[in-house]
Amino acid sequence: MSIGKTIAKATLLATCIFWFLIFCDDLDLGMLPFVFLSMIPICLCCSLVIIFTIAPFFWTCNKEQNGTEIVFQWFFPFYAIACFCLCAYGFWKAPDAVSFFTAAFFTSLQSWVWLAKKKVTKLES
Amino acid sequence: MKKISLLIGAVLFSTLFYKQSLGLNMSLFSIVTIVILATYNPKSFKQKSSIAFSLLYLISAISIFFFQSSLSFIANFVAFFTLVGHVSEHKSSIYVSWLNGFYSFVAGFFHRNFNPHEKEEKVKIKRDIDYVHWIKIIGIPLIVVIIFILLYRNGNPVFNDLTSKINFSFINIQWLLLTVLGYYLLYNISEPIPVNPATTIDLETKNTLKNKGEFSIKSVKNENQLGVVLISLLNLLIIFFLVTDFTFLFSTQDLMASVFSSQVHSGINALIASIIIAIIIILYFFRGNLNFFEGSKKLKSLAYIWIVLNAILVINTAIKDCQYIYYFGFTYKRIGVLVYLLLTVIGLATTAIKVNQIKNLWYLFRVNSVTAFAILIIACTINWDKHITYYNLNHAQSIDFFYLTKLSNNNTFLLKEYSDNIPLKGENKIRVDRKYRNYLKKLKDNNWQEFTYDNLKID
Repeated sequence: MSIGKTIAKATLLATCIFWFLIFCDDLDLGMLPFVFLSMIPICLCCSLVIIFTIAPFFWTCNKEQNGTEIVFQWFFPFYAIACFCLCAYGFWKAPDAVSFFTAAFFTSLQSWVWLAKKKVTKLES
Repeated sequence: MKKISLLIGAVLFSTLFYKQSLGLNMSLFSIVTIVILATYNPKSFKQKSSIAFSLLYLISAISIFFFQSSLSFIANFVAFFTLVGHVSEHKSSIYVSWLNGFYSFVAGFFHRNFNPHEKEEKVKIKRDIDYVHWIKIIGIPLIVVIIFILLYRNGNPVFNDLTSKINFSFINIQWLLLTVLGYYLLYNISEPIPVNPATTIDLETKNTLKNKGEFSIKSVKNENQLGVVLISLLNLLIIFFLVTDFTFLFSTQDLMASVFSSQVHSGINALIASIIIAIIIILYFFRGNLNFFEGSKKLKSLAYIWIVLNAILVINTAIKDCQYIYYFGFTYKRIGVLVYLLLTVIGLATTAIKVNQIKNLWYLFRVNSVTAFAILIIACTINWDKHITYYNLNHAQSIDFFYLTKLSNNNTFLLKEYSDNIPLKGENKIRVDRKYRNYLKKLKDNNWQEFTYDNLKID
């Protein structure tokens, strides 16, 4: 499982979603430097979420051949539902932060897929 | 063809919901949802149950068009998740359908993205699609039609006027984003996914308890003795409680509203605690071998008596609530108490069936969740605000007019009619007129997507 690569990809995806939604609302080219600067906190958020909430599920499945698939099937649905509820609650409480919660939701779910797929490929090879 | 139905659905989604409040659009969206589900899952829609759930979903959506109440919104969402979950696995329990429906709605795209087998199938389908053919079919007629429209515009002033009214200014980046969101949601639900192993476990779990073979007679006897003593004592206690409560109920003539309120609420609290404990104790004793022990007939009889006594407790609380309503009119809380009592009676009845027919815990969950769902759908078809207002204005001994004006707009016309027939004065008149004016303005400002039944009344 390549957590480093997943964090890098997640940071890129989250930054894209976050800023795309902001620029859709109000395109201000003066904000462009902040796009790159924002990658630092976004990377930090992605690292924390992936290391503490997603990766531990996969650390438990090293021994079995189809462990990743089982972990994905068992835990991903409940993780996705919990993540959706948290993000929806966040959006309800702070509608201005829609871009943050949208980025958080899609990035965390896609990170699951990346981590699970990496693991499958590694085991097959 | 299927992808095109999703695209059309996504465009309809943003057309219906972009910068619109909810009304007719929810009813139309429910039709779109059912069409997409039926297109992608024709086998599932051969089941009568799928058609029944689709109808319930439509009913809840139509109730939004009629009443726009919070209850109809909740019922609509629950019916939506039930239908989607039911399509994923029609034999599963309703609560598993809710889980499957919600999961498919939230993350169906990611699930299918992970599953390698499904992806292989998709690649095969993709190879069959002739994109050039589709571009020709859509692109060439579109260009030709646009050229002819431009030609006809110059030749016919009426046609020119009509075509100039076509306005695509609503299409902007946010509208497109909403279309993408609509596509994501419709794609998610198009092929609903069962959550495993929850669905598999649910399918394997039957409703009936099975005799696990030989068991220790001594331990079962001891458990039976404990059950008889415990439930006998609890029966005596509840009889004593009921006698004192009925004595109080029939000995007092006129009560203050606050006394009534505390009576009903303390009754409800006692009822909740009593019934939860009753069901837990019954489930504990009848969880296994005691069901098959011949000497447990006495315990079973005591359990039935306890269930009946709890039902009497329900009736007692219902009488208090009805008296409360008779004197002070309906409110949502008082109706909520009656609904809770109805659910309680059903819960007690299913517990009695569980003991009698040796059912398991899952039977209780299954039957009671279906009952709760049915009551939710029935409740959403009732215009509560209008009925509350009508009863309180015409039959209640005292009227809380401020409460009635604070209800939703569903009672506005009724209040206005009452205000005109029995000329109101002062603050109440001002409140009713303000409410009526604001509602009329809101109705007139509604776009076609936001249309409600009341729009038809003012036109």
